Amino acid sequence: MADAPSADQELLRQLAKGNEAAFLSLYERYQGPLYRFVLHMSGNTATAEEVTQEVFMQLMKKPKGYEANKGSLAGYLFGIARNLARRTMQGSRLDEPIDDEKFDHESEAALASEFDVLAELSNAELIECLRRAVLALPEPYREVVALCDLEEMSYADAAALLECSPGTVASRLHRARAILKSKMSVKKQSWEKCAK
Amino acid sequence: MREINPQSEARLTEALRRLAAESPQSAPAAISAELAGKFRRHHARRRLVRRGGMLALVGLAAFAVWMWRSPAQLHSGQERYAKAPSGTAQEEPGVSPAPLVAQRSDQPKQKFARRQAPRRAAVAVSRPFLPLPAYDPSVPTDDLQVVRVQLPASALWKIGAPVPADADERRMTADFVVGQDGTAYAVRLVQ
Repeated sequence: MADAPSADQELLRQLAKGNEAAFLSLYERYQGPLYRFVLHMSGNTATAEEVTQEVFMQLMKKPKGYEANKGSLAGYLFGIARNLARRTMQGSRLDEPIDDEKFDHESEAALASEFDVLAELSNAELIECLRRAVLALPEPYREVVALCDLEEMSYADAAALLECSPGTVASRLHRARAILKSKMSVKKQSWEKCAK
Repeated sequence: MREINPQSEARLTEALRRLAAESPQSAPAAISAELAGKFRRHHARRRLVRRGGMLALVGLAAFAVWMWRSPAQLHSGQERYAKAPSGTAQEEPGVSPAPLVAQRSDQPKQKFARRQAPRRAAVAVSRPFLPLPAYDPSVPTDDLQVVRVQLPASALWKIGAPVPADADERRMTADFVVGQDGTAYAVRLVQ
């Protein structure tokens, strides 16, 4: 994403001068990842569209808000998107903060290894089940899953964006995946009950 | 702690990849078009504001130059008058061209009013110009200009201004109609 930071900066310079082509070029480069990130965070296409648009509006109005020495343009845009998405989703039950240490390692391991539901679900069921499970994750875990698993961002980039260490990202991702598997096992059990 | 099934991990990774692939990949094209329109409007407005600012700046600079030049011109006129031969006031004492001077004084008076209006509006200038002995009807009115000076009353009397003969050395303000060579043709007292 941030393969050509100098190209980004040049485009940003042109954008500040009023070059529409430069603006659209930056939009084409980053709108997809931003849109998907907000979509995975909110589960709502309207929110994803609104936030994506707002991110680029902010870039248009304050192109000098980005400082190259503080990180990549991608990180800067993701940061804006993250804050906007948080604000939009405020009040939602999905946004309850979590304590990283609260999660019990024993139960995590037990849940993750005891039940392998993934092999037993059809593709469509699996995707739907997983989508809901991701949305049900607490926000810090959802963020790392959206960035590292769904957007395939490196731990270092995700850490820079989330303002934490790569170790924290790895740890959260590990727990998030365990929670995902446990949530999906519960889902599978309820489906089986319904079927009977 | 029990080990996590590695097969299960691989399946979850695969499932997450599929979820990513099956999710909408980009924002609708309408957003791009809308943003492009907003970008154009935003920069059109910015350009307008910038041009307005530049115009205001140029206007301000022009006003500053005008303000700076006006007193400078007046001052140079005073200097020119000071250099003019004082004998001109005593020449041709028999001439009495009052009505003609009134005609001549019209144009310089307008010029003067335009230049000095902001600073001198309070000064009463309704008094007519009185011809001085050096008055010459053949001098083109375009060559005349009005110069405001402060001189001792006695000096004004010597030039022919209507001040009392026993005037002392107190300084008085007067407008003079002068030619290009500095000759004073008419006068009026301001104070």
